[in-house]
Amino acid sequence: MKIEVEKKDNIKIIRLIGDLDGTSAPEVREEIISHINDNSKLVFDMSQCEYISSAGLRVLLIIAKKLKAKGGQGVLAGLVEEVKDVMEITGFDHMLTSYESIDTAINSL
Amino acid sequence: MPSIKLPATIENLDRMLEFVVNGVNHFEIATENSLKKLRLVCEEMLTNIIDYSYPKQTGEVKIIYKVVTEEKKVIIKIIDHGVPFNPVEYKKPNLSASIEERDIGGLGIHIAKRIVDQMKYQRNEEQNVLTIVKFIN
Repeated sequence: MKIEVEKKDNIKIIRLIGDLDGTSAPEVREEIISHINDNSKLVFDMSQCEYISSAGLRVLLIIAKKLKAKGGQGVLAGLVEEVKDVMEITGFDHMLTSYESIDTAINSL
Repeated sequence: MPSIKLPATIENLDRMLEFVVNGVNHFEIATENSLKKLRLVCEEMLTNIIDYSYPKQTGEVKIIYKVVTEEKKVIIKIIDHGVPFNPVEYKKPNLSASIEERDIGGLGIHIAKRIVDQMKYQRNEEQNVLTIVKFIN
């Protein structure tokens, strides 16, 4: 998986490109955690992530817990159908906020 | 039936998944979505074996698959000789918990059970034998 980070004002847009699976999860976790500071505002652009497994969900959960502990905010954007399915099966769709478009996600923070 | 036997390590996970997904794809009857689901089920069940089946030393995992073309289904057997574990009877995690209360574990088996069409577990001659059936149309 490739990760690109773009800064827009005080918001970081983190683009996850590829598969968020058991193989990529540890590296993705470390990379994203390094972008979390006090009151961080993060948008995860998931439009180019077409596969997620429970290992990937665990990364999202760890990040969400970390953001909450640091008074930050994080939202997901552009989820593809396959990823949405996994989010629904696991109840993550109720736990994490997600938006169809990146712009709406940015405006929500 | 095609089969592969490898040490149950995270480094081998991609190889195991490619073995099943590429093998099934070769039959040209599976949709892209069903192949992704198949990969997901295999990843979840194999990761579980990699993480928990052999707490003392690395053991092996054997994967066998069969494509029943006329019924458009795949039968996968995953066999390990690690600690007894029946995923079929594994309790569903609390899916409505908040971010703070959410537990990190237990999600993978839940995902796999929701996606497969059948899942059967047997403990045979000190082996965990998991049989999964997934329709691929």
